Amino acid sequence: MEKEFYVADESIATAVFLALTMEKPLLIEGEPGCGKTEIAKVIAKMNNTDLIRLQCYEGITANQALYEWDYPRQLLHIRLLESSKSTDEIASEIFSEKFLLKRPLLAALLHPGPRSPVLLIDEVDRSDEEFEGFLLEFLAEYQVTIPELGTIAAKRKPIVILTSNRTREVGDGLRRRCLYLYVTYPSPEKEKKILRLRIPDFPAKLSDDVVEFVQRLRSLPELTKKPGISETLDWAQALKTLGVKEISSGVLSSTLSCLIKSEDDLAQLKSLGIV
Amino acid sequence: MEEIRDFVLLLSNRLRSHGVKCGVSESIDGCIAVKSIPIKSMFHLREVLRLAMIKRVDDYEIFDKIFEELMNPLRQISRPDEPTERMPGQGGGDQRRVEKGTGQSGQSITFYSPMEVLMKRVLPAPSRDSFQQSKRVIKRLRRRLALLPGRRSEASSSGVLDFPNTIRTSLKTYGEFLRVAHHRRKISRCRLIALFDVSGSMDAYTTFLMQSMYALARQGVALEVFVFSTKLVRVSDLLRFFGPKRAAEKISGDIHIWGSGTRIGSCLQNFLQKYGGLTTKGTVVMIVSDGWDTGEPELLDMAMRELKNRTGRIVWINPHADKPGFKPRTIGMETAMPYIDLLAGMASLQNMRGFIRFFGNELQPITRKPMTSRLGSPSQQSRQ
Repeated sequence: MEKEFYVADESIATAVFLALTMEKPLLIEGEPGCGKTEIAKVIAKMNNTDLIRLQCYEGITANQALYEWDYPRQLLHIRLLESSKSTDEIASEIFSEKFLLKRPLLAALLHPGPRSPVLLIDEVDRSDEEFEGFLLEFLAEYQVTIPELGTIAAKRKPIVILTSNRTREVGDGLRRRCLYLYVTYPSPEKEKKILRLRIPDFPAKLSDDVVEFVQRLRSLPELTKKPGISETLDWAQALKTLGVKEISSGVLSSTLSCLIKSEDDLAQLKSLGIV
Repeated sequence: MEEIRDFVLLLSNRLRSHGVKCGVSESIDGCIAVKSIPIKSMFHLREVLRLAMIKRVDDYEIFDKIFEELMNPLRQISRPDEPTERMPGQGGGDQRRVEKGTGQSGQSITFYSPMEVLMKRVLPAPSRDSFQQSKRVIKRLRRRLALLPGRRSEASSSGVLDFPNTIRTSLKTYGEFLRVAHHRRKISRCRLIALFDVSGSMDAYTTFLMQSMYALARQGVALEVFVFSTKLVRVSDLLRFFGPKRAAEKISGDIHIWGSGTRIGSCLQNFLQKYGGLTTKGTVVMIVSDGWDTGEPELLDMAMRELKNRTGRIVWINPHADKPGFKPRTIGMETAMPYIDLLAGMASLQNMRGFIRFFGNELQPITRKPMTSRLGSPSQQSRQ
């Protein structure tokens, strides 16, 4: 995985390997900005296949995830055929795959190959329970039923990665069908390695300082939003762009917006005398 | 291979006896996982089995302990701790000490203590009738407080094109489309999080608390219930999985903070830190408390402001709010008032009349602007 610029420790590597060999979906939970989504992207790159992404949100429906009939084109088509063909012929024609808009789940099932695609169902906790229930069937059978066309089964089982930020607890049914991995903030050594890999010509001394400072921020119980790895990378990138040699209080106060994203947290840091 | 299978079975058995949900499918997964990967070390074996058999992060600790126990059967390892949540560095109150029954025999002096009262108490189980009644009230309450678009849609002039309806109306004009229909999703759902104050000052309302807690948890839809006094404990699972009687027993046995002092501010802070992910702009937070607070008002102010900015609505149920001439005078209430969308009394959760009185037609529009500190400003008048 390191070839694709991802530092995986043993548990992540094992999880990915098992998900691939056991052909089971992998549910990844963890703090924001710890590289959950990145895992799916890296698997797609590693296997040299497509990444199909379904971003879940409040109120997502089966139509938006699975398929929809292309109504405007169907209507136009009906108008064109009205005079020449019979009703039955028109019906069979407009309800064909030609007029089917494939949304991510169906696209993953119908993927032409040659390798199975990676299907990333991102932030599944943001969707409603009804949608989660609908996913259960999809994940168990890897098939969907379209009333007008019949049941469509997967040609190749897609590699499914689900991520959750725990804005609500994902149901037991969904958990049972998946392998489960919890990712948390990395150790200092791992974080340094990530920095080295992602920002190659970043000075080693500075990278030590950056990691040490971020780790210290994470250990503060007063902060409501702790900086994740993506924040560390942003900050390091900012420091590199500014051509900073070492972290001084002036540099800190001008670049802290990369790490701290809320006013209250900033005030907290000020009151603690860190900034 | 036989060995591994036996080990996995033993492990899942133990896990089950510790309350971890681990069924046959998990055991099968465990076996397949071990078979499909070359195991390098004991540590690696633990990783693999944990991946396949454990499905939530809260169970990681129990799994690790049991695994350790099975691997080193000679070493005695204590049972996992109670699943309560402690705040870092805040054990139980300040330096004031509880003095009970000192000096004279047969005479006990009791006075206020901010310490945790670590004792079991017998809680009343909610009866079936009262449960049904609360359920009805809460159902209507949820509908009133709704902030989120539900499954159903309603016709509207803007929004997504409604093809089925457009075609249906076109039939009247022999298939010519004269009007294009639109629809959008109806606001009908509410994600409710309830926080119940179970400190000593709320003692008189224990029956009511149990009853509404149970009804709230059993309503089901993405609902979390917490109790707090000196610390915060999540009870949704306890309430959800056991019957009324067992739930009452479990809660009285497992949760030792009933009847302690109150630190609303730090409990809310703790809630935001640990369960902050549960709150979105669509969340309604319901706090049941009388507002007697022994923590610092600044902390409560900060926590309430944060809560207000992160959630859609805050409803505060105060048992005294029904009484005539009620003014939110306790420190906690005064501090929290500016951030509260609705202040209501117990009656609103107990019967329909109270409910309609308080939640009738006067839900305020939701302010989307972040709120700044208002500590020290004159408190708002209650909605009496």
